[in-house]
Amino acid sequence: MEYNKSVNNANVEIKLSGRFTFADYPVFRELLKTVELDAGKSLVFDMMGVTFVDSSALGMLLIAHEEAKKTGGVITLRQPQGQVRRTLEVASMDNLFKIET
Amino acid sequence: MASIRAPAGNHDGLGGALSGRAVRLLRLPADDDSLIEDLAGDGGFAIEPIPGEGAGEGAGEGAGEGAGEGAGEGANYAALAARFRQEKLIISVSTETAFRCALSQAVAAALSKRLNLPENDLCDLEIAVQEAIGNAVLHGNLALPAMQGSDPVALEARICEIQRRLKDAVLARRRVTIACDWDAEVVSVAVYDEGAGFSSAPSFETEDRVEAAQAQSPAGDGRGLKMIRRLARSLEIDAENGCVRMTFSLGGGTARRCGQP
Repeated sequence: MEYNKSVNNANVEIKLSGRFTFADYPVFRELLKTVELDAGKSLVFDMMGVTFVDSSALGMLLIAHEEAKKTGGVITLRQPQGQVRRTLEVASMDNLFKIET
Repeated sequence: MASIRAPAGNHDGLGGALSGRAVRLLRLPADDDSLIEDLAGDGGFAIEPIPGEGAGEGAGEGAGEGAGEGAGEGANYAALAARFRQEKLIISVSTETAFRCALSQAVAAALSKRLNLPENDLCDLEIAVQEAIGNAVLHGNLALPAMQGSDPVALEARICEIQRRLKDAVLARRRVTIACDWDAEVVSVAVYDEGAGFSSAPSFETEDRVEAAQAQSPAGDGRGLKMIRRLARSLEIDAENGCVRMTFSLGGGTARRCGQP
């Protein structure tokens, strides 16, 4: 998986791309280190370019979710594509994140 | 993440000794994002040679290397071919490779070349196979405990443990083997690991243990079995042989794009 971070007034946006699986724990750690959320700011993961996720990847997103909650922020998954939506549903995690289609 | 590419024209001449099956020898580049090709070739048997394999666990790093790589590879093939006589497609790689490469994608691609699987069914199969491979690598061969918590500290601990265990020669050269078979109605995918705990425990205990570990792990550490149950027609945990066996229906699906109802 690869990621690209951008910051605007309201949000920190992270564009993810490629396969996002248990092999990506180190990449996600690096990603989390670059994110500093101010109070109330939201974290948006742009999922448009993600072709595949597994339960480990959802677990990593959950860690980001928990971190964002600490500052009163929320996590948004933007435009998850077919396989990603299916995995969220099968893992019963589709209601956990705010999903922007 | 690196993909797996099988080199062309690589039947290694051992086919005659292996029940007439052509064997495709995998040489996996360290970092190659080229397209996944048909891993198993016409013979349906792809194996990554693991130097030193068969020297015996606990023999220590570097054990068995003196026997010569060629002889070791032959032994790899013979043992695996004897074990998987019936299955139509076998892919067997080291834990290190299974960790690094998009193995579930390769399995799905190899199956889609051989079977008429609608896109949504193939998508479900790949999700389930990925979960089984994740369990085989992390909880089987690398024997990782469940993540303790859902925070950066737990994440850091997990990464350290993965990296430490991947450097352990005994753990890293354990195999992940995926054996697929099918008839007109069903495709079966079995994912084998060589984790000690998994293979010695009775199946119901193994399953309970895995699920108990998962339940304690808020970070979504292996929701795998529950997901597989939802996706597959059947799921069997065969602790005696160290494998998770799933079946999927063939031919019953309608053409729906993955992720759409």
